[in-house]
Amino acid sequence: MEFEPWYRAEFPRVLGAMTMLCGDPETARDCASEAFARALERWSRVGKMESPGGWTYRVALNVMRRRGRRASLEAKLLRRYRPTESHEIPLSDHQVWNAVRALPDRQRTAITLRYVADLPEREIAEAMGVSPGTVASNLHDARKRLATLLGDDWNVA
Amino acid sequence: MTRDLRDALAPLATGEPTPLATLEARARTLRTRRRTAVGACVVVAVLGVGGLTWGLVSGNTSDRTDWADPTESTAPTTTSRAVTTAPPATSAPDATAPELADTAPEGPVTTAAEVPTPTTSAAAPTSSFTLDAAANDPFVRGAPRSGQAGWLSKEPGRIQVAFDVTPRGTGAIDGLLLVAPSGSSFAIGRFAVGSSAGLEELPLVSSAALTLNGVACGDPTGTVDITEIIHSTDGRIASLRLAFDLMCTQSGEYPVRGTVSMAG
Repeated sequence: MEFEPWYRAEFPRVLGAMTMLCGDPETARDCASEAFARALERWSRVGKMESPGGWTYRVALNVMRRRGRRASLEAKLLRRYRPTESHEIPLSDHQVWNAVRALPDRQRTAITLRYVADLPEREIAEAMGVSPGTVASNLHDARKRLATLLGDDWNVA
Repeated sequence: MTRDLRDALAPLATGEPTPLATLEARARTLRTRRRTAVGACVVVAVLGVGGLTWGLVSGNTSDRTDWADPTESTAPTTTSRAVTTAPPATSAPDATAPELADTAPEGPVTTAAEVPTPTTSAAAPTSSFTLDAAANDPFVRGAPRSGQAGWLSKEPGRIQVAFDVTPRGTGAIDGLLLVAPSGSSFAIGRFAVGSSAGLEELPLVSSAALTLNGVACGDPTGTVDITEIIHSTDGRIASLRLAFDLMCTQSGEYPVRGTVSMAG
């Protein structure tokens, strides 16, 4: 598999998923770029994997979590000196944005990888490092919660 | 009309990819960094094996007392200022740490033949120290790996304690507590540090200062409890146990709790 066409097809979905998960488009782009750079560096191995996308999502999620921990630490230290930055919501439908962002971490990750990244449950499990059964359970709980938060006008199946 | 969640989220996945040249530059940096890390590991491993081999061959092992955790030591320690001995068990049953050499009280050097009693003010200084810093603080975590505490002053109406501790995390804490209530003598009780709301009825500690890695932690607030105090016959303090519970506010808010026990 060639890297470039795969990269051009996958990057927007990884970027969208990271944006939903971390809430900040700039941080999301940085995490996605880091993951693809690592994939490029190891492409001779990653390109032969059954699911290079799953590997890339997993790396991007790890990078995002590590940066999130560092960012919260920095925010804590800098809180006294400057106000918290607020990011523009990168989705026109604020109701959906807020509902997905309100989900618990695992449910938010599962629903984002399913609906934004369009991954099958097997690849979601690989990206999250959990079993497919756990993914199914998380998706079920997330849909139930979203149905409550969004109301009957929405199809969350 | 029912709206679809997938359609609502789809606009998120329409971002332009980062230029490939940028990605390639980033990948090169990663490769260089990985090779450097691997090289460093090899060098450390070679040096470690070489050093170990040299140590075994020459039989020149280090003095284990250099490595010992002072808080776990049960033997008397020596400093450049004084030769000290462990006090009687009745005066400081929990004394386990060496004194703070810079802050040790003035007095004659004591030896094993001059074991002090709790009623004398020239007894050998001993101290122990425990600390429970905030688990969520990046600099201090867990109980101290090593630490020492010492008197700066123990005159009637004025107790000043200095301590210096390295917790199990990274970093170090220096502290200074000055308890000086309006009365002339001390008793078991609680004292307020700084201006803590709800603690106005307590006598105020004149001063408390903490530094983390050499950086001052603002003006801590909280309490200092004198949980045990033994006076000598001349009115001076023979032994003391303090527990402090402070909140520092310089870089965020985090509690620093600890106890200091001293005799001598």
